[in-house]
Amino acid sequence: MATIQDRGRFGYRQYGIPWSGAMDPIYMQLANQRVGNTEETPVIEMGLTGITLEALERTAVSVVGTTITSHESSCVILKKGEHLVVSRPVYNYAYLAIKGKLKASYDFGSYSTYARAGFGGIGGAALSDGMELITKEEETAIPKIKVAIPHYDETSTIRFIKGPEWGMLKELPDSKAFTIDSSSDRMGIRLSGAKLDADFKEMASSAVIPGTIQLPPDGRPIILMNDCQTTGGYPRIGHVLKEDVGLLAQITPGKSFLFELVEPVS
Amino acid sequence: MKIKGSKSLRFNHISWEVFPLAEQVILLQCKRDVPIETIHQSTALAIRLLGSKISDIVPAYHSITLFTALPLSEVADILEGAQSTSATDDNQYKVRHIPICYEMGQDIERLSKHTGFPTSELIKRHQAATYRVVFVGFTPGFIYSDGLDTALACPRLENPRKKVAAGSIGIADGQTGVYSLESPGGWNIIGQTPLQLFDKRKKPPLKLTLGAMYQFYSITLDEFRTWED
Repeated sequence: MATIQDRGRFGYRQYGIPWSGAMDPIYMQLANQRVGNTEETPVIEMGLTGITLEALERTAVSVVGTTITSHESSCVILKKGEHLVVSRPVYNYAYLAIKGKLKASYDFGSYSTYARAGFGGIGGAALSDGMELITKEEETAIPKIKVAIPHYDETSTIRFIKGPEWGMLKELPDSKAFTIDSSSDRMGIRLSGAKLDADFKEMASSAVIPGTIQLPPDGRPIILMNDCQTTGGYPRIGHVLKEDVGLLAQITPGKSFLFELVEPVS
Repeated sequence: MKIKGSKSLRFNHISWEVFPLAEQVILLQCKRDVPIETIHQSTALAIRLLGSKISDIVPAYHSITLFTALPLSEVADILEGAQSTSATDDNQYKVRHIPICYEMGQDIERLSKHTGFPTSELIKRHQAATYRVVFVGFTPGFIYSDGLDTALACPRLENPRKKVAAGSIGIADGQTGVYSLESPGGWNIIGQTPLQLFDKRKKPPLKLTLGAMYQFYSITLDEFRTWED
């Protein structure tokens, strides 16, 4: 799925509105930098998919986390009528920035697409065939900026702090390797392989946020991600550090990692 | 088990355990016997005391979650010992009247079968109750409410729907709620209101706020279809 994303919408969880925003904020920023946009400019996020665009006007684009198969560079100027073919992401999410500001719906302080409620994006929806993307001005120059793109092949540990329901666990989450399940999406990452044994008690719904590690009764943890709900009724055994949420988003299905328990900084 | 960095706090006459939920997110949790009005009152008090120091606040049944750049100890210092002086809240005295079209209730027969009440009795009981917004959450604008007649309790649908229309009134076990926006969902739909309860252009976007009381009155399918807000 390809959607328009920026950093996300903050301050509206009290109305049940999720943060949304780029799953990998670092790649998003780099894509913008590469084409000379400010960091918070909305970009196209490609989740497990490539994209083909036709330039209706002369325009400059850049990608991070994937390659442009129609051209030799990852930052190109397209002539009117020229096609841009972008491959599937190297990991899970890749970003395409268009020079100038993409026109999209601005809801609750963000252009990020949250299709379930029709917020952001083009008319609140994910990108689909035939949609026109419009930037506010025609831009042609590409700045001479070299950006260092991090690689994620070596991600093997994800740091977390204890959650409010940590006490129900009968074994430590850092004792086992977990595998990313292919059903993972922008709402949550499901883990397969290992299970965690715990004393399940009924709990009343309480706040959750991206990075919250929930443990449903089947013992397989779910890590909530950017489009997650604002409250949940499953025990929260931990919370992934903010920096590591983006790393986690890029671990490809089938790959394993270890949790590393760290202390919260207060 | 104690979590490092957690604190106990006396705030608005009750005891809270305070945890770091994540970086810049603080969870205040109280005992389960604390009534929801006290949670609402404490939420209002926390907003008053912390003001712009918090960027968001999520109250739930027995907790309040604060989004703040302040360290936990500083938040605890501000809240410690503070208490509401008066219980006056506009929401407490005003009961809003919400139109509902039961003919739009896709699960009314299922509810009737499960509860053993004929549809007419179901509707009568549903309209007799006064509901109150307990909290907003899960999906955008989903309004959890209490006040449901316990005899109308009914388990969730086995297969959740991909789309539940905006304005649908749902029942799940003993809980009730309003889908103010279209969303997927597995609650039994007893009816639908034509009111636009969520408007993204408005501040706040929701017509029914925390603690708001409401009752339903029945409208016909024709009235539903031609309703103007």
